[in-house]
Amino acid sequence: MSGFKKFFLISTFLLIASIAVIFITAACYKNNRVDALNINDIAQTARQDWGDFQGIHEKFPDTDILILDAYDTRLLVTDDGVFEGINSPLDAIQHDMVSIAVTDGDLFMGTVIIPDPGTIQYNSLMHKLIAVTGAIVIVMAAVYASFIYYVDHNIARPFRRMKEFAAAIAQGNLDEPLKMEKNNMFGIFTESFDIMREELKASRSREIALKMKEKELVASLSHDLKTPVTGIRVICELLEVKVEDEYVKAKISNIEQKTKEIDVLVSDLLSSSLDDLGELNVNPCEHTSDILRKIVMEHDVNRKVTSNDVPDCIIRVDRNRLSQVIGNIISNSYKYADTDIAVSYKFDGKFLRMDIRDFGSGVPEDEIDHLTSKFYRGKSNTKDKDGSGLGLYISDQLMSRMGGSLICSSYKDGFEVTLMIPLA
Amino acid sequence: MTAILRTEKLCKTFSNDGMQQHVIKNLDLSIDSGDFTVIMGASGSGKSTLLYALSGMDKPSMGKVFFGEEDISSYSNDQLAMFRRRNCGFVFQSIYLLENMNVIDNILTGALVLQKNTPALISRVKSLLGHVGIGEELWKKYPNQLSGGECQRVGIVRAVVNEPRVLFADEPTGALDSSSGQAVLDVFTSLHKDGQSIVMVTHDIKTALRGNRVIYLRDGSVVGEYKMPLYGTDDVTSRRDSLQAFLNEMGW
Repeated sequence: MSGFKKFFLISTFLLIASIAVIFITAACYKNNRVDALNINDIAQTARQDWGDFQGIHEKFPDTDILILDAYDTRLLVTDDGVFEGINSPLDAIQHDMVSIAVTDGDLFMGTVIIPDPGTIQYNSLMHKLIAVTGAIVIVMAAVYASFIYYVDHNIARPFRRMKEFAAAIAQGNLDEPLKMEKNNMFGIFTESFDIMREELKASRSREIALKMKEKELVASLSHDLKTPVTGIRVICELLEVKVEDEYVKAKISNIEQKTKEIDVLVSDLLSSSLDDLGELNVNPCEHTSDILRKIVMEHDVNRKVTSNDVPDCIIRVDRNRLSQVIGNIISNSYKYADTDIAVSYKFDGKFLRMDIRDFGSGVPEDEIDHLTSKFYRGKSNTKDKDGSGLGLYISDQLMSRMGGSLICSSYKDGFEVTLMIPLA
Repeated sequence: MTAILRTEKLCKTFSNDGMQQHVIKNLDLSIDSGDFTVIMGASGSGKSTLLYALSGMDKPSMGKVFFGEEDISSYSNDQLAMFRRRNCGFVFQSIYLLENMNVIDNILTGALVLQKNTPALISRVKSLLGHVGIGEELWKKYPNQLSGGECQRVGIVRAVVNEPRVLFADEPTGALDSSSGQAVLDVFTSLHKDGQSIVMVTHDIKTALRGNRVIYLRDGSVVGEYKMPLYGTDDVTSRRDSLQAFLNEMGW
């Protein structure tokens, strides 16, 4: 709120300052006030000293005087500017000046013209008033303009941003953070909106993960169901041959028929849940290769990865899907090997080859080829670990859809996944 | 042949309103010394951008450019400027001759950056001018008294007067009519015969015919290349037809 206080302090100060200016101006006007001149004094002097016009001027140095002779010829002009266009007593009257004829008996000698003292005062007062009013108007305009800017900048704009932000959220764009200024008046208020966005985003990704898990569960359950169902069918087929009682035989045949139906349904369920799992939109775009370093950083929560520099190039991948693949490989390594992970990059034809290697017990030679099959889980090392046997299968699918590939290889002292990442 | 120019995963990215546009992508290219290499491709395929990166007029965003054995992609702007002056000649579509200097002086301004003003230099300039068909009567003329084709030939002499290792040209006949264009191209052909390495960007097939290697760019990547014998050693019609066939295949 300090911004508001500062603003009101400044505007109050400006207001007081402008009032002070008015009072000071008024005081100055009072000091400079000129007493009204008696034009008759001038006319008197003119008559007496006719001819010595400079002398007349010297006697009334503070007054502008124009003296015309009987033929309206200018005899004395103290200020060309003031008397511009005044060439006759008639002109003087039209310009609100005072004129008086100078006569000596019946002889008309000429005319003395001076500006009307009242007009002088009025004009000078008007000028000062206009100046002061102008100054006040300018000051107030500046004050109001800055006030409007302040309100717009500090109050309206954050709300406008909030509106755009809400619209973006409504459209499902949860990645854009709410922009905020440093000295934001609604700091905590807007921050809580951004926290809301982050929570929404997190909950959405949790939801996606959960759905994924659910589908994996359905897929693996239906896969597991197939084995006992097949068992029942085989036994039925066997019994049909062995049993001789026709009634029993018919019943057994009935059971066999039903198991076949179950088998079809389970197969449908399995294939549809697998389709759902595989139905991941892959949308490759061009990225600079430094995203690989960032992706690895994001997933390497236990800080096990050591890596050589990512060579500079442009790759064509779906960033989110590649992140899913790399996340799967790193979490597999955490789960099964729990050793350091060495990541190395090199160019290999049209691909950037990324080797991700750990130093665990590896995978037996005969299991390597099955790792990317669906529902395959290695026999040696998986007993006490949960998993669906779908991670590498999905990763392999995703890499193929991006135009790359995933290769598993095993060593005596570790396991390695190679990602062939397509170059742009 | 040894490579005079070589790129390793050359990338050039322009940022526009936060949108990144990758104009050259992961380009691995090797250009042999003595070759007349022509870079072709549709508008916006990155031809000129590539030429600027190869010649050290622009710095790549990522990747390397080797000029001979030197990695010029690591040079500072000042080092690049020095390097270009010594090793590169440039001919552009617009001809940048100095309006207030005559033909000989225009060439000498380029030459004196690196060489001493000796009678040998003057006679070399004169022989080069004769070589490109600029007769003695034109030597003291000013650029505005010359035709566009003559100006471009003077420009070529200025580009090669310091004996650059590579002569770079960006649409050198783009602003010329057909017959002046041919005269300019004849200059390139004769320079090539004398062993000058040339890299030229063009979208004109007649111009491309003069080269002995055509590199085709699409979206910032080399998608095809085509080799030809030295110009003048084969039948022009069949040379043109086979280049046309290659370009059609590339989607020209």
